Amino acid sequence: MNEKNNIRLADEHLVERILSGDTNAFTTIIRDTERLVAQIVFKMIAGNEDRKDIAQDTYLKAFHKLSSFKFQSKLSTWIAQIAYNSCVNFLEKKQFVLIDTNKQYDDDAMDTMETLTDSIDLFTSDPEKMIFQKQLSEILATEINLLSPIYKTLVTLYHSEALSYYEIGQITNLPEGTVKSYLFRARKQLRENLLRTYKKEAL
Amino acid sequence: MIHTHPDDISIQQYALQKENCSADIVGHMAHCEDCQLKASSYTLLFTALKEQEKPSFDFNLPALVMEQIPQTKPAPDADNSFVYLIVLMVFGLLGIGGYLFKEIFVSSFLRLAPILTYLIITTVISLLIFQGLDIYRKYQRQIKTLNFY
Repeated sequence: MNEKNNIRLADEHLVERILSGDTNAFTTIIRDTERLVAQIVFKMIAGNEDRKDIAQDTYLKAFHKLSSFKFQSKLSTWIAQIAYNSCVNFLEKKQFVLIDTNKQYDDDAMDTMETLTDSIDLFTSDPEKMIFQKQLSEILATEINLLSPIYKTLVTLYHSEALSYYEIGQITNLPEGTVKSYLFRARKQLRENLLRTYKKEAL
Repeated sequence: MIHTHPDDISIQQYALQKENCSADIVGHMAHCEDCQLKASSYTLLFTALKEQEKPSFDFNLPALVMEQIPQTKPAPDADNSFVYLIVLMVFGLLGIGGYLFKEIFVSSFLRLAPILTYLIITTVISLLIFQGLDIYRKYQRQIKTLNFY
């Protein structure tokens, strides 16, 4: 609770400074939230130039709308929401499929799963373990990229940024239940794709 | 303990937070190798996800944004004062002209047929209405753009 209050006080102080004319304080906001915005933009948008445009646009919108920010969420969550909406608008304009809920999942992956989980135990020495984990991480990065933009973003915000379902709901304007349900589907899809790819590479 | 395998959601939940799962599921997981295997693959996945490299922009975002933001609070600038001065001068000239030539204006207006007077008034009012509507539409468009995010 105390941490929440501290964050709110710090946000209020920053916003107040900017609104009273100290626009340089906005740099602090950019530096504090840049990583979160990058996570969203990188997961949703493929081209580097588009990412650059959207990132800039996000902060310009945030600056111009700052007086309307009502502190109903953390400032970082609000900025992440602007970034997410900018990405969604961009993708909708380009007619991208934001989420593919019709994918069927294959539950018959037990053998591969056994090999995969055993692999870590087999590699007793640290260098071997590290190599395996590096390979896994590389395959995982590729598999994450194959997910639909919204799944990618949800998985990243939850697992990499450790945000709560509630915060993710605020960013994506999705009900908490939908966030949970999408996350379960995304993880399932990711696990199955990972096992399939691992099996192929192991052969 | 349940004898049917828990669904994928429960297994994910088990891999995420074992302590929040029901005793039935925990009991099943303790004895079922298949489900344990599935849960370990999820645990492995979650660990790998957590350790994924975090992306960062390869350009200086704060600098890029800050150069597009006005550095101080916007204040009425010289350009605006110049516009106000011009408007004032135009109104002044119109006022002086109107005062000096008021008799000519009044007499020429009175000499016009009443139908022509109505025509002029109707045209001017119609133009003003259209102009007003156009300004309103433009304003709505701008507000929509501002609320775009």
